Parts: sequence; C-alpha cells; structure tokens
Amino acid sequence: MKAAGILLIVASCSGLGFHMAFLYGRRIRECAQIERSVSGLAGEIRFRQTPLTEALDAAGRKETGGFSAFLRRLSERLRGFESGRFEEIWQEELACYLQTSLLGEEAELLLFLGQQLGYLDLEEQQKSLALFLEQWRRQMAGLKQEEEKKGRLYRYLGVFAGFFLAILLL
Amino acid sequence: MSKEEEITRILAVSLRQLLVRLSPDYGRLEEIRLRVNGPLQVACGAGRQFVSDQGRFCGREEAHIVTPGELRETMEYLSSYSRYAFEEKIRQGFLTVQGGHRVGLCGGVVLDGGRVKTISPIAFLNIRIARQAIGCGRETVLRLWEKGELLDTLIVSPPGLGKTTLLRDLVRLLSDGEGAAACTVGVVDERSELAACYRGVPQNDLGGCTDVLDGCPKAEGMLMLVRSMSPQVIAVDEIGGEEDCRAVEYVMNCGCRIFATAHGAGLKELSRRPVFGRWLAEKRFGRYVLIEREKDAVFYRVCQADGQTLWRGRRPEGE
Repeated sequence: MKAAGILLIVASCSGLGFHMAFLYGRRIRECAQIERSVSGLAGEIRFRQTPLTEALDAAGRKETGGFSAFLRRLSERLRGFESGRFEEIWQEELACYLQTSLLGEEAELLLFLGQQLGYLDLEEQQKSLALFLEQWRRQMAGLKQEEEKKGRLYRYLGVFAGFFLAILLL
Repeated sequence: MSKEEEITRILAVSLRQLLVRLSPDYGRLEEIRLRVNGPLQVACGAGRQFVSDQGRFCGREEAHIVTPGELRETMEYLSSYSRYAFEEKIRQGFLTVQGGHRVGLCGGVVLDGGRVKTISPIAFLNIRIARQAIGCGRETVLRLWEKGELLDTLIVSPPGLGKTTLLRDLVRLLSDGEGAAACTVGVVDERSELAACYRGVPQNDLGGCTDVLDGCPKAEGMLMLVRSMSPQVIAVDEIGGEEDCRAVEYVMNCGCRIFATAHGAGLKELSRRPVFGRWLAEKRFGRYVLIEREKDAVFYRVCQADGQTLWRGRRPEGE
C-alpha cells in the first residue's frame, strides 16, 4: 500500500514536470508555425502584391492551427468591409486567438505587426515584415535556448520533487 | 450594391456618418473632397459646398475639418487595406474603386531618379463619382458606317465636354451591335477611365464583346491587342504622342478600325498639330465627331473625311 502511494506521488510529480517541459515545446512549435505563416504572407505581398484580404487567406490555408484560423477569420472580416481600421480589427481578433494560445511575450510582437500592415507602400511593407520576421526569429532562438535549459530543469525537478515528497511522507 | 453604399463604404466611419446625415442626391453627386486639416467639401449639382459637423451644407467657417486619422482610415478602405497592391495607380495619382468611381490623390511626391516613385504621405483626396451616359452615342454611331463598312473615327473636343463618355458609349453600342452588326472591340484603357476596371473587371458597361487592357500604355496596348485578341475595332482615349500616332497607323494598316479621342477645339485647330494635320490631309479617318458647346447645350457634329458636316445633333441626356 505504502509502495503504491510512493509510486503514485513520484509518477504524478514527474508527469507534472514533463508536462511543463512539453508545454515549452508546444509554444516553440506554435511560434514556428506563426513564422511560416508570416513568411508566406510576406511572399504573397512581395512577389504577387496580393491584396491583404487574399494574402491573409492564402497564408492561413497553408498551415493548420490557431494562428492560421486567426488569419482566415481576419480575412473574412476584412472582406466584409466591416467598419474599423485594420489595426483595430487585428487587435480584436488577436485577443480571441491569444485566449487559446501559449504565447507569452511574443504576443507583443504580433500586436506590433498589426500596426504595420495595410497602409504602407510596397517597400515599407516588405521592410516591416522583414523586421518582424527578424525579431520573431531572435525571440524563437531565445525560446529554444530557454527550452533546453528549462525543459530539462522541469523534468528533473518533477522527478526529484516526487522523490523528496515521498521521503518526506515516509 | 447601390451607389450610396459604394461611396459611403470607402469613407472613414465618422465621414460616413456625416454623409448619411447629409443624404445628398446620389444621382447628382459629382465629387467629395478630403484635405488633411481642411474642410470637407461635396459637389452635388449646385457647385461645391462645405459640410458641417452636423452633416448639413454650411459656410467655410462651420465646415467639418478632416483629420489625418480620417484620411488614413479612408485610404485603408480605398485600397482594401492593401496600399502596396496599388503602387502603380498611386504613382499615377488615382485609384479606381468598385463602381468605377475614381479617386484622385495628392500629397508629398517621392522621386526616384527624377521620376515619380510614389505619393507619400497622401494628404488630399478627390472622390469623383462615376456617371455613365448610356445611349448618348446612339444617334452618332449610325453615322459612322458607309456602305456597310465601319469607318475609323476620331472624336475631337476641348477638355470636359465628354469625349471619353461618348467613346465609352460608342464602344458599348458597337460591341452590343445596337443599330448595326456587333463587333469585337478591344479597349486600351491606360488611365482606367473608359472601363474603370476594379481588380481587372470593368465597372462601366462596355458591351458584351469587348476586351479591355487596363492600365496599359496606349501604343504598346494597341499592338498587343492586334497580336493577341484579333479585334475588329480598337478604342483608345486621348491619343497625342508620337508613339501613339505610330501605333494608330499600324492598327489602321492591320485592317482594324480605330476609334480614338483627341483634344482640340475643331478640325482647323487639329490640322495645326503635326501628325493630325497630315492625317487630315491624307483623309486617314473616315469620320470626325466634334463635340461643341453652344450656350448650355452640347452638340455632336459628325464630319466626313474631308471635313464636311454629315449630321449635327444635340447630345441626348443618356439613360
């Protein structure tokens, strides 16, 4: 009975640690997906000068996940010629997306991206997207380093915390 | 979509509300002018008038002052949130929106190697409401045929008398075969005035058998049409440059009929211009349509190749 209890404590603490590490990985995968979508959007604008409504839809269809759905929703709202500036519509939709997302401080960059889309000329638009992608990649590189360190830390911490708690309760 | 919707949807929300309160006669609305930190102006039949914050016509002092935010918001709607996609049009100083309405742009001009690269920031907008005069060329088109053959036609008038409007209706009539056999017409619409294409789709009625090259330089466009679309008639607005004239001669020698417009007060004045003078002497065009103003009325005069008047009639109002 006692052994089973100890096993349960160790297993659940380790599980928690592994789960935390997994969430880090998911956040990085989500960031990578956003990077691919924004690169797609930048490509549509750079090479085809596709209007934003269509470019957002095209970029949203190439990927799956929450951010792609956000882009498609945005495109639909813009097609409807809804009242409001692009920046405002972007902010509203972004707030909905962030409710189900794992993004942390990266969300600030997305908010900034929304302020830079739609009203700039081609050269300025390309520069602003290139700047966003550069900042985003830097953020992702930091996240990956953090994941390597913290992911391991969470896993060890989970296992050791389980053992510590088990010893304490013995 | 109604004309009211077409116009209000491209304005900033606050300006939209003013226009809704003003409720002008959209059938007579001619233009809406926005200037950053300047008064909102609307031309609706009785000249240009200012619009107040309450949405009423007023004097200059009480006029609503357009803010930079309102102009930027309007630009976002005008360009469908994609200013970069309209670079070339902005460079030329105008945009065409759904419904064929043209928006003139002014502001800071950015030069690149001495040529206009773009306009940024855009601080002045003139929204010109599109109006077609369908049927205005019905009487004229009948006089452009001789022994069952359509003749090359040049429409001549001073600016502002409706050369483009008449050419547009002639294209429609020829294309739909109203009053005569239907022809395949190719239109080179360099300034998007004839067809007023929005995303490549003509917003004006140019008939069912018309192909449009939108935003294409005239001379190049005429040659492209001859090579690719085998048109019976090529229509082009405002010829004048040497290159245009060379292309017109090429088209004539290819067996296509040409319908063109040119600035001029009359044939005498036209004959003083180098190429046109030669064309008149050589009787290159089978018909000349002169548009003349007499008091408040506008008349169409159809002349033969030798300048003899064949018919003269008052311009119909259009449907």
